[in-house]
Amino acid sequence: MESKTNGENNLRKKKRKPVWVFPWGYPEAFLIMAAVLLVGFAMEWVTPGDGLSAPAWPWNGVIGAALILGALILQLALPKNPVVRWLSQVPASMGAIAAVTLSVLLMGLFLQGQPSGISWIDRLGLTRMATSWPFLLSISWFLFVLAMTTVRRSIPLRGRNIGFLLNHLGLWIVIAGGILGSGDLQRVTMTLSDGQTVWYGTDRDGRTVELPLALELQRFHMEEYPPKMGMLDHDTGSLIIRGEQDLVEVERGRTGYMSGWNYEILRFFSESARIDDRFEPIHDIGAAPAAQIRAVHAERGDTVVGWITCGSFNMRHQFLELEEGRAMAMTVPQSKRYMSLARLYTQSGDNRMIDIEVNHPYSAEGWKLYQFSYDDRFGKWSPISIIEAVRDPWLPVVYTGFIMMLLGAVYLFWLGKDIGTELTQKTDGEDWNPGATDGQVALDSPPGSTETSGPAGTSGSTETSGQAAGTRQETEVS
Amino acid sequence: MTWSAFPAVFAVSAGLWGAAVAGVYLARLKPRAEIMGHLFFWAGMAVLTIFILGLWGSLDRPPMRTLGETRLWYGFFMPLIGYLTWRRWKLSWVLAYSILMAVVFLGINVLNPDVHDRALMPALQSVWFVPHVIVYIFAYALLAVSAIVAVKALYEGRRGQFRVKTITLADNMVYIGFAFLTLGLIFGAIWGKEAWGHYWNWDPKEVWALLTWIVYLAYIHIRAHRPDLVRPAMWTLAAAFVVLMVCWFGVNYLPSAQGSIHTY
Repeated sequence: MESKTNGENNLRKKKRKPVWVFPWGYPEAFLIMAAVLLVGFAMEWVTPGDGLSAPAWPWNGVIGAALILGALILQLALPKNPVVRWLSQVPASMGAIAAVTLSVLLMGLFLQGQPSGISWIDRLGLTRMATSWPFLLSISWFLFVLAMTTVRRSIPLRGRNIGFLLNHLGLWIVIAGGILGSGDLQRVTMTLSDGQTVWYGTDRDGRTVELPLALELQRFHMEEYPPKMGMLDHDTGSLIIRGEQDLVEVERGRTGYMSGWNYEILRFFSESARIDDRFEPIHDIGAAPAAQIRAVHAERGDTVVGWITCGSFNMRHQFLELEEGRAMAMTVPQSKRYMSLARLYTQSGDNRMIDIEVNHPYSAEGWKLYQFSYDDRFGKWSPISIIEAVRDPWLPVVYTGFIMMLLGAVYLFWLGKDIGTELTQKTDGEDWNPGATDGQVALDSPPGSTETSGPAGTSGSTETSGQAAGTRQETEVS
Repeated sequence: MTWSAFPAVFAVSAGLWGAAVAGVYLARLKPRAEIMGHLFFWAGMAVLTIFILGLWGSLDRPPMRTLGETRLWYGFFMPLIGYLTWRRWKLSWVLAYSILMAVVFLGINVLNPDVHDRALMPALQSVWFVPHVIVYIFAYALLAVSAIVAVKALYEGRRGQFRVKTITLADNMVYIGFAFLTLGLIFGAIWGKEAWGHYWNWDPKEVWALLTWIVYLAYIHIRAHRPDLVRPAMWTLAAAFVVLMVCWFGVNYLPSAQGSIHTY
């Protein structure tokens, strides 16, 4: 029986195997990939909308459980079914990888998040791929195939498959947790202003969401880098920058040369106000940096002394005119760090002072509080601070997947030393299409273990070789 | 030390590395010349290292923000990987090519200096900044070598026979490079959670980083499943580097990248 199968395969090797005749291989994988994308775009076309979103708990949990249980049941009940077998092998995986690649590629080429104004592009969902049908179907197909592959390799659980499982299961957990978890992800912004207590946020659709905590802004604090100065070309309206000497930090005593002029910074105040035709240091709302400059033309020797400032929301900027079309100008300082000092009240009765800084969110009551924004018209004098509150109950799931993938990466690194040798042992020899090609080379298995096992070690060697012959032949078709 | 010293640093490092390559090739005739290869190579690395450390000090922040600064790290890791490959597998041409690539990328910095900015915006001030960038650039440098190896393999295939040694090297490079790519992606995600509130925001750079990761994933699966299909695998590997370069700097020019948090 087995030898007949092999014989048939060898005979068919001369001709093309008709598509959809078992065993399936690459042609079937890519046809399904095309179908997934076409159906996705068709659904997008006939159901115009603002995009899809994952269902909230418990339905996202149900979908996740159904995917896992479905894969488990199929693998346990029908391990020898040719479709189940094909779903657990590289050709199906490559088809699923290709489907995801194509939909992500579209995401990478079209500007996302705002309609293009071209009706067919918008109607196909190309400007919001992450919430479109083609992406959803591609990633679902990918997750299903990945689940089938992973489950198959986990029965029975073997130590030598540890690298495979860390990478494949880890990736599955990350993607499934991320996509399903987005149904429970809440992101709201809280606009705080001095002395007001805020216990609600606004989500992206403008809905108000009540929070189990409240914030009362005590102070918004910003530190800035020193401003810079450069030579302004009045014709183009921009600074003349040819190298790093052309845009320098303003500090007292600095001397240098730019665009034909030698300069010296005589005085510098980081916060100052204009008084008549000079500037004096002052710490008050709307104070701006200012510097007094002496500029001497390098050849002619004419000297200009005067003040420059970048100004603020209530102070006009000021250039130092040097010659026709040329002036010294100061740039608006960039922020170095900014943070909100606020009092936090929680439902459980806590009441404490906290600070929320960029890159240093604060966790309370299952929410993470982020310094999000401020009123940039006022810069460091902003009267408001915007905090983003994020609740993501699936985060531990996704991070579990991350940790598995990190360990899997370490494993790949370790494997990297030898894998090439091992793989090329199969390529080495007189024949470049060695019959030993196993339909299911144990990807990520430790060296020395790849040569025999079929899917999860369940299949006998004859089945494997029959299947391998089929796979090889199909690949030649593709 | 600032960028004004860079042209001199570049000239000295490139010269020393060139001498190192000469030494390595000379060693085929006179084995004792190999010591020249080692000495000149490490001298060139030392000069570049001192410059990077000096720049780091003068900027008061890790020099990893602008494209020019990432090219600097690339020029640091490429020769290192080439050298290790030479030591490990005795492939002198890999050393020569990786030094050539490094010189090209560092040369871009000499010809086209960006205005290097001291300021580091608050979102970049994170413990994840250095590991994220270093791991990525290291992966890029390794995968660049793998692309060169792929081209060499295709050339050999055209001449008649694939050489096992070449293909082995491609696989080793990809496995290690892919491991670092994965680390970079995950470090970036964890950092994103701390800085922007979520670990994945479909930012154009993230999209292209994912695409890059997937293409190398495809290569690994083709190789593992069908080691006999050398030619398609090597084409995939060469093409993967194109995707990688779009991710690294091409993405800045794509219409989809308007407003990306990764364009500096």
